[in-house]
Amino acid sequence: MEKESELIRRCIEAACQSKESVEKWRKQRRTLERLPSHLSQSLLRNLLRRRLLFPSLLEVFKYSMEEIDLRGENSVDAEWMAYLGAFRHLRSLNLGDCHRINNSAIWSIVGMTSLKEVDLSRCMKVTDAGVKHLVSISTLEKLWISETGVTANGVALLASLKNLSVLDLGGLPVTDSALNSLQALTKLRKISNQGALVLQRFPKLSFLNLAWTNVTRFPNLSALECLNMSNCTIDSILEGNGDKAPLLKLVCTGATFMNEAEAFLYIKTSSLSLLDVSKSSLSRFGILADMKMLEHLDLSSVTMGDDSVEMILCIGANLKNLNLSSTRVSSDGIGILVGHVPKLENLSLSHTAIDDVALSYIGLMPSLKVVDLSSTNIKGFILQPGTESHMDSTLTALQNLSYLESLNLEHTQVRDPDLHPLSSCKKLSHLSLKCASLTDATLHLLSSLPKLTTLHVRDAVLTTNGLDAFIPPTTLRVLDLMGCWLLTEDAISQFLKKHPQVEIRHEIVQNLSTEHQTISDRLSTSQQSLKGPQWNKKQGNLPMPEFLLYNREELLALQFSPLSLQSPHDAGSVTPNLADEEDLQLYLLEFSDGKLKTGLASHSHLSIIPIVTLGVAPSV
Amino acid sequence: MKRKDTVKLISTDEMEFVIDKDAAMVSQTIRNMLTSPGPIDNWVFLGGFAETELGEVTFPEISAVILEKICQYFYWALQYSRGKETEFHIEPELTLELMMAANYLHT
Amino acid sequence: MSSQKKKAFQIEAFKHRVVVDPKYAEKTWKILEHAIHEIYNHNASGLSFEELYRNAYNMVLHKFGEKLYSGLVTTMTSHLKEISNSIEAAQGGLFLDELNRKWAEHNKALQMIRDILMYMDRTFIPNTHKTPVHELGLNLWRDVVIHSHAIQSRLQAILLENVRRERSGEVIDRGLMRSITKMLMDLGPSVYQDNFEKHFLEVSADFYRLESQEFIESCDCGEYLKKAERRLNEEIERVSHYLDTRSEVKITNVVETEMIESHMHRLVQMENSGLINMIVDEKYEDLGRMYCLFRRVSSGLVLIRDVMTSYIRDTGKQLLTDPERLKDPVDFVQQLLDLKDKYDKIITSAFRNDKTFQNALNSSFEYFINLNSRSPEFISLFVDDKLRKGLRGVTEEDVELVLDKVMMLFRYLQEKDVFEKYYKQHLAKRLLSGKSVSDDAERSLIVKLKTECGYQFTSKLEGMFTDMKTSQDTMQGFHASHGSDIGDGPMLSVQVLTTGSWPTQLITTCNLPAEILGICEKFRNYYLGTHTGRRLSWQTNMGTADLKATFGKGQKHELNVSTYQMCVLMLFNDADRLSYKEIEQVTEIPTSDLKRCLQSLACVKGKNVLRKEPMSKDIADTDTFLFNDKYTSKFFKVKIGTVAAQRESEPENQETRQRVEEDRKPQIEAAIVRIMKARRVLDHNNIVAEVTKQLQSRFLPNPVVIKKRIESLIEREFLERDKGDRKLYRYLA
Repeated sequence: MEKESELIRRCIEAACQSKESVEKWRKQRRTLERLPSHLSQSLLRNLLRRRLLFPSLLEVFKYSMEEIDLRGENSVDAEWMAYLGAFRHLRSLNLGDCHRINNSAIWSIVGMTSLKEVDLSRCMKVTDAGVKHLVSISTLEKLWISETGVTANGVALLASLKNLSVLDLGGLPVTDSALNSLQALTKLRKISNQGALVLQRFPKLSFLNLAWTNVTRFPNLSALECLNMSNCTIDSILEGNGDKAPLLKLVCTGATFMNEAEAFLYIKTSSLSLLDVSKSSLSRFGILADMKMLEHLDLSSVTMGDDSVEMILCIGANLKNLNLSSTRVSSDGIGILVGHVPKLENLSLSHTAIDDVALSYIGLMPSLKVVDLSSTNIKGFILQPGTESHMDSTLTALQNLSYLESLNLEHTQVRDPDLHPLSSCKKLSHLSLKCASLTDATLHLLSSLPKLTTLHVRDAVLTTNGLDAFIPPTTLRVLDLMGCWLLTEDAISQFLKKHPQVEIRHEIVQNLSTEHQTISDRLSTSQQSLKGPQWNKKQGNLPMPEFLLYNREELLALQFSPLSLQSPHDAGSVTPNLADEEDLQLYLLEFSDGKLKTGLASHSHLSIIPIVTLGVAPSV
Repeated sequence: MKRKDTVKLISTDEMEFVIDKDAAMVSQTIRNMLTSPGPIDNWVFLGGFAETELGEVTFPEISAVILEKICQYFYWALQYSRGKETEFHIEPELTLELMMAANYLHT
Repeated sequence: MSSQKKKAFQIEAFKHRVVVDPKYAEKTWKILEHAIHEIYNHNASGLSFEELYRNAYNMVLHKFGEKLYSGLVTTMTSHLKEISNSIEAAQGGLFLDELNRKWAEHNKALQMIRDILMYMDRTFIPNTHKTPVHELGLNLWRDVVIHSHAIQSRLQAILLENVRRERSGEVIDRGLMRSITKMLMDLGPSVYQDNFEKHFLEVSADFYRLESQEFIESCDCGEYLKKAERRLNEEIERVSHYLDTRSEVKITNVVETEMIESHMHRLVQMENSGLINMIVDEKYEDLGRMYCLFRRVSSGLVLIRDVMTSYIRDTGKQLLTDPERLKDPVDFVQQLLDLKDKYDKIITSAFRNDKTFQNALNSSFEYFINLNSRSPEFISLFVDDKLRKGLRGVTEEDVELVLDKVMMLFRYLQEKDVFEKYYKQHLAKRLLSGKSVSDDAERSLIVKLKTECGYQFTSKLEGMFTDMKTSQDTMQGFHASHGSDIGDGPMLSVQVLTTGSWPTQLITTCNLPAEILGICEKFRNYYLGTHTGRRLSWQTNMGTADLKATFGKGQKHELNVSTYQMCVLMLFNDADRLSYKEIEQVTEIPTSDLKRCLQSLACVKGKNVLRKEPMSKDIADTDTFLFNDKYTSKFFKVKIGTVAAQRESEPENQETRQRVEEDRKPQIEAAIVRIMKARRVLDHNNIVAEVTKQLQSRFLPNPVVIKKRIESLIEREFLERDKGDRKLYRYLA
């Protein structure tokens, strides 16, 4: 679709200016059938963004919308659905994470003959009753109901949706018998399920998500291309007669392998291009040997050491991404890899025991673009034997990487002089550093990097003068100075004035801008793409969400906000009720040393549970 | 009196707006309409549509209010492209219709 | 304006739009279909753009885009079928015209249709990945009209026929052709190629094959080339007028292949008009043409070059092995120069100074000049001739020109050291006899040689010049100090020659007349007085003397004779007749020299100041000589000196050659030692290669000789053989 014209854009903006604006045009017409679909979409998006959308307004779009994406909108409820039910041409409806959707809400969309795709992922309130409604939509082709309240019975009901080709039942307690009844769905292409023998009936199955299920073994599916068995206990995969499936992607994050030798016996590993066995119990890596097409290999948090690296050698030819973080690989292991991974672009070695020797090996991997060396033993220099005073910067090895774009050296002991070689990395655009021994000299050094766009220099000893004197590269957009506690508000705002194109991240800045942000904006700034705390303005109490995550920034921001929390800030800054510890479980990410700095130390009544990372099951 | 470089736009309720051709050409649709191939010299080919001949276009589906706003937009767009950056205000009650008209006129 | 639209847009009213029913779509489509018909029938002026645009817009908006599109395809297709029929119906010559006209009309209509269906083009088509309207129109034209069986073959035939006619001289409508080919190109490069170009090239190939066959039977080389060139230019012009530019290289290829490449050899070898004839007759224009044409063809130039080269070599070889020619060295060398000039001219004017040809010429010369081992000598004789008399009165520039040419020949020589030897000899003679035309010219040549070969080559030669100058100074000094002493005695002029610089001569002596001896002693004392530690020896075999002789009737003549001759003649001051034996005894002149000297005094007409008894050409031991009282000569001054340098007789030549070989030995040895010193250890083949490389600027060493030298050096313990490998040599410090 072509871009919106200037006039149209302005019209939409004007229309979404405020509640009053909306009222004005709303009165005029009840439908917008003369508006092409893409413009309606745009208008709806803008209304959503400005929080101006409400159920009765939906009526306007009755005749012009074909697809609606209301993911994450908590205000969507039965009333909305009522209006949505009247949409004439609605083809695709996405209500994922709309927590207010319940069975009666679904009733509204009964009988919509245009509807082909419905996404109700994580709508907890939807249960079997809701499914009963869904089955009346006989045109449904794609249905996502993972992590809803649907049970096996509900799933069994789905058998009447003859046109179904994509079905996502992740996390549902499906039983074999329920699955049996799904046999009737001959068009099913994508299904995530449990109790798998019956899967043989789906010869065209190409995508299978069995995460978090109890599947231990299941039979051959010769069309299968993607298989996700994360967090399962795996006994055997794809055992059975017939052609071996040309599996392209295999995800087994966090899985437990009962019988490693047999587990992979029946997979046609030679076509596998992605293998993710991070955090799994895999200990023998002989199976890697045949995976010659492998491009993406994730072995993070797996108990492997240097001896297993040899297995990677044989398959290194096509390897583009390699994740060995949190393994027992050392610099020797990396040395073994050199020369065998010509296409390697992305290498992660964070939280391993590698040291500077590894850098020289890394420098010999010519295609590397992204390198993560955070939390390793890299110091940045090697003491030459016999001459204690003469130290070479080991980072010079990285100068050979002519494509290097991103480098993460957080939590290493690299200091200013050792960073010198980096100034000749012409393509470096992202650089992360976090070490208490870094000073202004680092900033100065890095101003010569021609393509730098994102720079993290955290926990460093940066002074106002240093920041003042820093001339950032013209491409710099983000400068993250979290933890540089010497910097003052003035220094930062001075810098911002001089270089308005750069966005600065710092605890102080966070606070300054918090004043102007709405809740929804906060939601989108969380760094790990996990949701921040969700507040409902109308309710004064704390809700009890399943996952409540603060990243470090938010927590540090707390140091500046008052602790009396019965009435949250007008602007909606995040202020949890800290007095109520039992009610609160805090899961923190990325805490470097388990201790909070400065501000929060005074809040000693706070008990924090450190370093637990929690993830949502990946929906592949 | 119709000058050579103007064009007349007529709304559904028969209000007439005479504007410069340059302004009218901000709309791609009008531009196409007015520059649609004319007659070829050597042959007897009555080219061009009625509008090209008469120099006026009737829009039976656009009201006067909207058409007026559209014309204003034309002039504003010309100014904007010449560097004068001002605001173009759109009354909320006009937005929807204006959007549709803009889509129609490919403006 | 359709009335149903009237109630559509009023702001206040409630719009519960009735669902658009299929009938609506059908009605709307009909309107548009009608419009398309009208457009094709040239009735567009009655249509309202806005109305049509709006209808199309509505259809797409209400999701009837598919119907609109397929309707468009159908309608357009049916129109094109009609058009196709009307084109087919056109007779003969009007076919192209009609096609062209209809094409233009179609384009026009297409544009108008596209304009009214613009909304569909913008939105519906990209979304559904269908072909945009304009392209669709072209594709349909291509499929329905051009690829319709009747039209396709006829079109092709007519186009090719037109080309044929033009080739045979008729005038055709180029503008029309242009439009048609442009149409084909607009439809896609493959359309142009498949429907026209491919066949065009085939037909052209046949045409030219035939024509070239005709021509080659009936024309001679030059004419043929002219014709070929003309055809080539014609084709290029044709392309520029009405074909796609990318066809140019293809059609020129065809012409080149058929007209030139296929007959290349025949043309070059053609009797009486082929390449060789052109060269001989200096037909520069024809040669130039041949060059340009053959250049287009791969291996065309190679052919010319090869033929020319072998001809040059043959000519050169002939020249060099022709015994007649070799009798006159100066003329011989001049012939060489003329040959070079001729070919230089050909290369410059006809072959565009092509470097490869220059190289070929050079290598040919190098080849045949060295065929004759006497070439170095001859070249030196040529120079000698020029410097003695040939360059008399010639401007400085022209002198330079001649000398440069000589240098050029010199460069071709492989045995430059032989040349050096001869040159030295000839130069010595010139200097000593004072017969050089221009001192500047001599020096200029020396400089050129120095530039070419380095300092060593010319150091001795320069030494000779220095000696001459020094002698002048010495003589001045001598006369200044001893002027009074001499009085009436003979005037002495001495050239003091440094032994090393001048060509080695055997030291011969003879008995000088007493008068001479005196003054010689005086000089010797003077010289040795000013220069200590030197030895002087009189070279009596060189040198001249001027004698004043009074004959029978009192005629006085001044005789210019050699030293030997002077000794002999002076004897006749005291006696009237002397026998050979007597003369020999007194003068102690070596026999052969004496005989030659007497010969020139007694047996040469006009120079017989002596009479011999018995009268015969040769000198016998028993002859007697008398002073010829009756000698007469027109001139007061008579020259009876020894002749100028001549080409050596065979034995002399052998001798020189031997000397040259001898001189080479130490040079080779020096080279070997130099190399081994640097390399320490080296095998036999490499030594030979290196030595050759080092010495090649002077001469080409014979590997057998090199081997002998190595053995010699081993004997003298400069080198040793490796114990294990017999081919490996080691330097002994």
